[in-house]
Amino acid sequence: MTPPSRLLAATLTAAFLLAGPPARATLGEAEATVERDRQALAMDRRPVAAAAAAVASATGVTVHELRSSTVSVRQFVTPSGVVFAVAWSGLAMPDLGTLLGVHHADYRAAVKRGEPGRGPRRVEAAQVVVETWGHARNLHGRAWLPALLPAGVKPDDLQ
Amino acid sequence: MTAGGSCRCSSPSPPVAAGSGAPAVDPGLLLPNVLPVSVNGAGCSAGSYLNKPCVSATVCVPGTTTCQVINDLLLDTGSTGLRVFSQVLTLALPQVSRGGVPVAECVGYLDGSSQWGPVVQADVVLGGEPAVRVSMHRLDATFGVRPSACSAATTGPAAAGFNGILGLGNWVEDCGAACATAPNNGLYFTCASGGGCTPTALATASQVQNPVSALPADNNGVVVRLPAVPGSGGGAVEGHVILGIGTRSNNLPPPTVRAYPLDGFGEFKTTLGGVTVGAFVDTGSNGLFFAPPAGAGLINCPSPDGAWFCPAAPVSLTATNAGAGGTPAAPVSFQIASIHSLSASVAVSPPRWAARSRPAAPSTGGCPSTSAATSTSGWRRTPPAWARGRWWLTRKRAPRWAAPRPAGRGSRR
Repeated sequence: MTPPSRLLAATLTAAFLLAGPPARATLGEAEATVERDRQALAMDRRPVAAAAAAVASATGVTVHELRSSTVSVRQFVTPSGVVFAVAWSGLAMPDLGTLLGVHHADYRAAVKRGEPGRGPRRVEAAQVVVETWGHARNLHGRAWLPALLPAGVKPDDLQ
Repeated sequence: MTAGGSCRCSSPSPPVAAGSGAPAVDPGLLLPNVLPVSVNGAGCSAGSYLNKPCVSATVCVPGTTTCQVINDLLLDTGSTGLRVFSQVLTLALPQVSRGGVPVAECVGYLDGSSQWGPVVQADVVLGGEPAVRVSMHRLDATFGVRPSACSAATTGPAAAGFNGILGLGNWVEDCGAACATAPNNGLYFTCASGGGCTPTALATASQVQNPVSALPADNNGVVVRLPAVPGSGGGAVEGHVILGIGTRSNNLPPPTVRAYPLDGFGEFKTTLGGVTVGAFVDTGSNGLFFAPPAGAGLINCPSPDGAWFCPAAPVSLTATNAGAGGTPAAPVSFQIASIHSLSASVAVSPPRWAARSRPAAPSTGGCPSTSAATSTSGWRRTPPAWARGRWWLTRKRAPRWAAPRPAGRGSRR
């Protein structure tokens, strides 16, 4: 006889296989996923720069900063502990699949709907807004969930 | 709010050989440091997107005369290195490796696209210059096992809108020191046969390199020269890329040209409407991107052209360009017209988006690619050098986008 717990595990495994691997992190997920991202991206934690810290202290938002030799990433967490935005800058693009988590597929689909051409972009998917600007060797971007944007935080603060 | 502008710069036309009677061929254009550049003209593939400057280059197996001419390369002063899709570049080129393992690269772009493929060695010929041996990027989304950041790598010319990119930006290598020692640089990987790809450091000498910087002479920068375009737009223009600055009779900066020193990101300063931002010269962007001053009447077009401005009447603006340290500084005037008001004759043919049931083919905007402009830029390793230009693009470090914005905004990358 199969113990109930094993049945449940088997069911979950099946669901996992059907749904594909879970999103590795972060946007829209708990603050703890910041560390998961850090490991997935093989980045280091760094002190948060003064400008971002000022925004944080005024709004109750927590900011985490990760850095590699080429990219800096900031993750913004609501007072209730959910990652509501990420911002990045650097020589290279970070892996947005890791940073956008479950919202990455929506972003990719919205990108595909855009017109051909090249330059800065703003992409609005169902739940996430992604803005990118800059140029090769100085790439910037940010993504946020408008529905989770805490009071007093403007998209321009997310950098 | 940042949007692409269809615009006309008020810069004077670049010098053209003066002659009495029949138009004379500028003898400077017969020198070996000249490449034709075509904006949506004969040098571009059919169906090119708006304001796309196209050039050709010859790629050869190192040390041989086995070569291929690659057409329809995007001329990009905003990136560094030659990248060509494997569907076009069919030569067998030696693989760059590290520790005996092939090296590949993943390059992400602002528009959400990415390019993936092996790094190879080639002899590259630009214009009539001698061949230079450089690392270049063979774009092949099927190579090895793509890292996650390149999971959506562009598959080929049809998807990209060009055969490749000729990056003649401000640097010698596409990454530099930051990739030379740290494996987790996000760009370079080693791909063992039959296995996955692992992040790797790569010495600067092996990184994808700016082929102009490798020239024996004419290696200190480029000039991009395009003819004037009327305010109502133009269908296509043909111009020239002149290699080197101050190295030959055809690239001596006239006394009126100012040199704007760049910062460590390759940027100078532009002030518009009292706001100063980092600015850069990028032929690879197909619009003039800036945050419009309040009250200028620069509203965004309705969807699906929301990435462009649609003012009721042409808007004249004057910005100030300055070196990264504030000097020198000089004004630059330009006009923005509605993308919808430009002449229907400037439609790019055939429109790529015809299949998207557009009511009419949109017009080609003016700046930067089809405006009267002469742009020069130079590079050094670190820090990057200086640029001269009337041809400019701006971006804010943090763009202030319009709010509220209409739903379903279209966007031209």
